[in-house]
Amino acid sequence: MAEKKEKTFEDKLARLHEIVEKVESETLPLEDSMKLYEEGKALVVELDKTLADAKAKIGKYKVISELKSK
Amino acid sequence: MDKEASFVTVSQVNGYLKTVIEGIADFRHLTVKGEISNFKRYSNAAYFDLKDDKSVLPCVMWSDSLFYLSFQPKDGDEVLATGSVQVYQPKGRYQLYVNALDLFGQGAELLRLEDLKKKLTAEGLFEEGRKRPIAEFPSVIGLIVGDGSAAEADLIKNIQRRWPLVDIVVFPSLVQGAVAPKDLLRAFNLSQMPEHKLSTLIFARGGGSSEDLGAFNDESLVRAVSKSRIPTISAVGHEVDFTLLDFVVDKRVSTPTAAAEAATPDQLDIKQRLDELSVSLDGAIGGVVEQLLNELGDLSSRPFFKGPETMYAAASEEVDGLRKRLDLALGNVLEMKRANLSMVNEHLDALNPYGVLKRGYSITKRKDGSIVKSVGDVSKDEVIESRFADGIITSKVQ
Repeated sequence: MAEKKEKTFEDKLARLHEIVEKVESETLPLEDSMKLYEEGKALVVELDKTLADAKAKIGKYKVISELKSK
Repeated sequence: MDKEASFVTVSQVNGYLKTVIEGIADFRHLTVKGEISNFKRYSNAAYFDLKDDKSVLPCVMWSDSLFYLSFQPKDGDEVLATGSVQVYQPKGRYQLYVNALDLFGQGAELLRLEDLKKKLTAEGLFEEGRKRPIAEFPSVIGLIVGDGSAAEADLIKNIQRRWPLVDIVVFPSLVQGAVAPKDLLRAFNLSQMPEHKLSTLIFARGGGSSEDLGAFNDESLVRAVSKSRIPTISAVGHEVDFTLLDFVVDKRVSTPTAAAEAATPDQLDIKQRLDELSVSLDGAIGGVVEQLLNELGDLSSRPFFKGPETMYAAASEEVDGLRKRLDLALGNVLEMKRANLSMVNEHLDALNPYGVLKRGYSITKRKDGSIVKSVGDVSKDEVIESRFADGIITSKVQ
């Protein structure tokens, strides 16, 4: 069960926060800042897209009224 | 009856009435069921009426009895009042003198509920410290609702509108009636199965009378929910209706819509947050670049970049000086060498055989280049060349 868990929306949003903070601190070398900037912009696009795509998706809706297994 | 005895006094009537009424054994100790109205409390006694749909019975309760009351009586309370019927002679009024007052029916239920609440509170089940935060970004939300209820529809609609990324699992249950507590417990136990991977569990039911919401006061249910693996939200009844479930869940709200809001982020807010983060990121990288540009500007305004020549003027001067010295030194050396060379040259000139020619001698060579040193070296008609200092004479031997 060593399967790698896909990062959740929350994880990605947290990473984005982290990136903005890091870049804002202006202590990193330019190359690192640029790399973080690219990553951050990609995350914004990705998260935006996740939300936009979810619009069309209807949440799973299951009715479980009985124990299926004992 | 004579004239003297043809009347009685008011006091006599009231006194007689008092004797008769208070002589009735059943009136000495009885319990009356009724609804309280006109309840007025004074320092030494409380006065109120007990009524049913047809009649009213005035009541008095002395402060020593009031002291033992387990609740605050108020108008509308259904009660059982125990005491004796007596006559207040000055007013000719019969009243129930109440020794003990107990809530009846719904009121009694409320009292029982108060006791249960006290008990569970004492056990720490309702402590604020036990409340867990509700997941900000839930992946799966469980709903314990009446099957096909308005609460269910409301929750699903609002959850999906706010956070469409979430999955919803519904655990339908009876939410009122005698079987409801058991059914709620069954639905709750289902929701606890790890396979559902719930982030949040919501109990919801629309408003109703307090009897309707009774199932959510069930002790077993409340105890079970206190051990929920998943953070819980309750939205049972309305703002004014509190159930014991409301105290044990991690978050209590008053309507299904509010529950949806408590359980999910609003995608519009999140989108705005993303925009803000994006702008912050642009600003931050802009800041980084600007800072570097400023540094660059500072550097380029330094003398070195402003007028590079000034930086190496000294060096250039030094180099120049060195070059001059070198030139000079080299010139001297060359001069010396040249002088040397011409001296050597003169020596060489002295040794040069051709130099002798300048003094009037000549050298004669045969055609093969060999020098003629004796007359015997040549034969008649042979062509020879004689070299003088300034030229060559070709001659024929005779």
